[in-house]
Amino acid sequence: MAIDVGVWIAFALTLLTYSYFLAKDNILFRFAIITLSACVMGNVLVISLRSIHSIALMPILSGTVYYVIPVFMGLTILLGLFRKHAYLSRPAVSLPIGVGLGITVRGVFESDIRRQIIATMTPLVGGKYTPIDNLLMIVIVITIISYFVFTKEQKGSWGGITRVGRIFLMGMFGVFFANTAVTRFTYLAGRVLFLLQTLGLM
Amino acid sequence: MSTKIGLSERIDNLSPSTLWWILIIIVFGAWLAPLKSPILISDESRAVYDIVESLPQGSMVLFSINFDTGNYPEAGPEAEVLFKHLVRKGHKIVMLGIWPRDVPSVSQRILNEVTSVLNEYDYEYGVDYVNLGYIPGLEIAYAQLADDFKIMGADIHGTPISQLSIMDNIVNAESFDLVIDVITLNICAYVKYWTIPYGTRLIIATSVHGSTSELPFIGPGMAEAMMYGLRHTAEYEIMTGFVGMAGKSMNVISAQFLLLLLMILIGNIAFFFKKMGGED
Repeated sequence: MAIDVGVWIAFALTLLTYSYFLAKDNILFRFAIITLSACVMGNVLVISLRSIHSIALMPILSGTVYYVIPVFMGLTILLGLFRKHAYLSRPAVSLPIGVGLGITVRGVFESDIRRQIIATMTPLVGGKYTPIDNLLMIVIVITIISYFVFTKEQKGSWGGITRVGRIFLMGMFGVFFANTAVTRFTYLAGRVLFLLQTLGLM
Repeated sequence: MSTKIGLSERIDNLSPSTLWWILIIIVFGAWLAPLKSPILISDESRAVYDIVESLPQGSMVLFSINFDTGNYPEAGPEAEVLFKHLVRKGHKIVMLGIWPRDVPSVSQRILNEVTSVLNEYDYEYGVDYVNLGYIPGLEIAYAQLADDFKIMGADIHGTPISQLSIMDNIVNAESFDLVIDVITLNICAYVKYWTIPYGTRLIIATSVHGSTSELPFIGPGMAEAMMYGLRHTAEYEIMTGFVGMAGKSMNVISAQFLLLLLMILIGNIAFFFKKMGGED
C-alpha cells in the first residue's frame, strides 16, 4: 500500500474524476478537473520559465550578448495586450511563424509528398500479405484522391469512382476509431492498475 | 412481440453509467485474475528488436520522449523496455523531449523505473547516458538540433554539456547511430529533419492511436521500424526478458474489447428487434 501523500491525492482525484461517468456531474468532479487544469498550467509555466532561463538568460550571462535581441523581441509580444502599441508585437509574432513555416515546408515536401508518391509506384502484382496488395493500394489511393477533386461534379462513372473512394475513407475512419478505442482502453487499464497498486492489491 | 419491444426499450434506456460500472468491474477483475494469455511475436516488434540487437556495442542513440504523463500507460512501458534493452546492449543514450512540456517528469519516471538495470550494467550518468530534458521550439528545434546539437547548453539538471563526456563527440544528426522516437502527441518529425537530410536511422514507438499517422513513414523506407501499443510492448518484453506490466495488461485489454463487442452485438440485436416491432 502506498505511503506517499501525493499518491493518495492522485488516488482521490482519479476517483473524483470517474464519479462523472459512474454517477453524474457533481461538484467533486468539477473540483478534480479544475485542479488538473491548474496543475497543467502551473507545470507549463515552470517549464517555460526554466527554458527561458537555460536557453536565453544563462547564455547572456555567460557572454553571448546578442541573445538579448530575441529576448527583447519576446517581451514585445506582451505589447499585444495594449491596443495602442499592439503593432509593435507583430514582428516578434511573425518571425517565428515565418521561420517555422519555411522549415516545415522544406521537410514536408520530401517526407509527405515525394516519398509517398514514390511508395505507390510498385509492381501491380505483389505485396506484403497477398499478391493483390499493391494493386489494392493503388486503387485505394486513386479513388480517395478522386473523392477530393471538387472541380468536377461527382456523377456518372466519375461519381462511381468517388463513391468507392468514400467507402475506403469510411473504412479508414473506422480504423482510426478502433485505434482510438484501444488507446483509451489502455489509459483506463493504466489508471485502474494505479488504483490497485495504491491499495496494495498489485 | 411486446416482449421484444420491452427488451429493446430496456437496452435503449440503459444508462451510460451502468455500462461504465460494468467496464470498471471487468477491468478490476481482469487485473486481479491470474490468467495468462499466449502472446505471439509480430513482425513489427521483431523488426525493432533486431535493429537494436544489431547495433554495435557503444552506439550513440538519441532517445526522444514525446509523450506526456497522460499517455504514460501506453507509451511508458514501451519507453522503459526499449531503454532497458539499450542499456543491456551497452549503447550510449541521450534523452530529450520536444513536444510535451512535462518531459522532465516523464523522463525522470522512466529513469526511476530502469534504475535497477542501470545499476546492474554500471551505467554512469553523463558518461553512458544523459537526460537533456525539454527542448522548446517544436519543428524549429528538430531542425536546429539536426544541424547543430550543441545548441543544447545544459542537461536537465543545469550541468553544462561541456562537462558531460557523453556529449563530447556529438555534433549533429550524423553523430547518432539510431534515433528512437517514443511519440504519441504528434507526427514524428525526425523523418523530415534527421532521416531524410542526414540518413539517421529511425525507430518509432507510438500508441495504437498514433500508429495510423506514422505508418506512411514506414513504407517508403524513412523510418526503419515501428512498434505501437501495449501488445507490441508485451512482445518486446518477452523477447528481451524484461517482463513488465504490458504482458499482464493483455488480459485486461482483451476483456475490455470483449465487453465492447458484446455491447455492439446486444445493441444491434436490440435495434433489429425494434425494427421488427415496426418502430422507427
